[in-house]
Amino acid sequence: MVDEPKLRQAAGASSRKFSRLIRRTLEERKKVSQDTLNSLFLRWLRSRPAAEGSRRLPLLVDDLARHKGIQSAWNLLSFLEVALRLRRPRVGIYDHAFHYIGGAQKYGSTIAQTLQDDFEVTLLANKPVALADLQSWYGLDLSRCRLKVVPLPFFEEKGRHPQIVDAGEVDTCRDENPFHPVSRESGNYDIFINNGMLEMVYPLANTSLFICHFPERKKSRYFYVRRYTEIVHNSLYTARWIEKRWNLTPHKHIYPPVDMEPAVFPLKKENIILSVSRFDEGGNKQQLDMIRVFEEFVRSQPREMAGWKLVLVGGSPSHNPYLERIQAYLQQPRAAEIELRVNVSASELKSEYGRAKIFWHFCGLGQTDPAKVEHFGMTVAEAMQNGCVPVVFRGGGQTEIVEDSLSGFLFSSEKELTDKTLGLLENPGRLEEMSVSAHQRGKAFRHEVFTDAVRSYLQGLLASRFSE
Amino acid sequence: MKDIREIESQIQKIKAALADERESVQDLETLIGQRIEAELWGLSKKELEKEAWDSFFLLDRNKDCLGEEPIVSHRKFSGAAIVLYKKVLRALLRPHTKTILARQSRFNRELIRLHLANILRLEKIEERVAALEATAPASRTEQG
Repeated sequence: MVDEPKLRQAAGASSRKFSRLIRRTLEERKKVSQDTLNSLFLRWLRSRPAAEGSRRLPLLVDDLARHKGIQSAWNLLSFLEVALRLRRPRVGIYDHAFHYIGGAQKYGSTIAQTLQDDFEVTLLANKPVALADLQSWYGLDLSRCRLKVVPLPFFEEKGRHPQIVDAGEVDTCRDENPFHPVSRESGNYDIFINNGMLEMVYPLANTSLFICHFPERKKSRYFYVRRYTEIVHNSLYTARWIEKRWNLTPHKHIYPPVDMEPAVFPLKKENIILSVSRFDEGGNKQQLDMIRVFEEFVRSQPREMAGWKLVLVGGSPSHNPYLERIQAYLQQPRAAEIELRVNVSASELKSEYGRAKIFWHFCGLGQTDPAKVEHFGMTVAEAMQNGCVPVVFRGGGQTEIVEDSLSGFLFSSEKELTDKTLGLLENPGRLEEMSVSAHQRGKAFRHEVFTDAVRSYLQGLLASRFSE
Repeated sequence: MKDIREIESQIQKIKAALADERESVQDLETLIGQRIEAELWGLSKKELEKEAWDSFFLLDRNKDCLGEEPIVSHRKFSGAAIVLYKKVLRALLRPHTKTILARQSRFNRELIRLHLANILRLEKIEERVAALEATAPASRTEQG
């Protein structure tokens, strides 16, 4: 093991002694971390005359490159540039799905917007996408960010889907790790943020963050999450599964940004039960089950349910067998009033949230696969910001958003859902009170809460990791 | 530091020289100067097999410790003298080190043979277990 106090003392006292000790440490292949080397060199440069430092630095960097690899020497120089305030820190935010609209991608893009004034931010994608697209999809200003596409030859091969980068396609016993081009690219930044939770990317930056929205895959030969400086998680549900599935303890919890707050509150509400969810091709969001429960509810409670309608809103690709099943089902004459709205604009979505009194969300009901339960539940928080009273499945991240019987209701069965909804319909005063509570609770997930948390976290990391 | 600009320009110079070299290195392990090791805990059986064979071949390639690494120095003026000094020292010590290293090489070879034997034995046991499992439901029915 390296004698760190001795090296630290030499760094502050004599360039000759420091050089000798560093060289010996490297030649004898003693275990010394990059962080320790960075901090020792900074101390040495700060305490010695500039001419002395600049004379000895090339030789020491050369030694470092020979013994610990070129990347180690590169990282040391990059660290010194930032710590000596010679330039702004560079941040690379990677997501293999930046070319798709999604909650996780909104998370990464919002981080980019938050950091662009204090850092040089580059968004790293694998497929072509324009910054203008990201700005319009998420209503963000990314004008001070750059975008770089890092192609992955493995996923460009003939016969593969032209738009999808799926790590599940990699045979870890046969294929070379196809994400190495991203790993290489990560070494060009001071802080590398892996927002796509791709555990196969080996981070080379001085500081690296692994943002986990859910640990989807089990460990494989190309599992490098432990190599990251810190793991950030989007909900306590995700944190539990990171521990369970990967045996790792995440470091920082930041809920996703939710910015659906109305300009004025309270809003003029109508007798609408709303569901907002992507029409998942596999039917994971369970809209068809919701329609059946609603119909049964109307049949069993005709008096209370008179004048109420169910509105289903969500995005979908052009060809979607699950959505086609719903459309076919709704084409037959129905006893209940049900409205289907696909791929609506952001303003239309906001208006739907504004009109609805109650919000239903089924995702997770009857599921055994933890990945199929909402990891956070963004639309639940969006609905609450608009004063919709949520009645949602008791599972996943939703239990963290909704305070049961206070700002909404949680259910474990269809019967519990209809009983709790009925309770609200029979007591309009309670419904109104809960609407205000839901609105208040929704504020906890506001865009500003997220950006403040990200800013202070990254500034803290910068202060602690880019110093002696 | 009195003159930060001097340091800045030196860092820029070193980085410029390093950039081309860094760009030319294709292999990630060469770039970071070490092997990227997989975490063994939690791997599937097939992955563990792959890891075991990879490690085995690595050991096999490096079993001989008699090969000598070249002596070099990056120092401009004193380098030649240092290299000469180390070469002489190595030549003087060679009779002693050779004896020790030859023993170590023999030991390494035996150890690698033992590993290979164990891996092959394990494979045979696994085949046998698989064959027994395939016949197990039939035996239970017979007992039942």
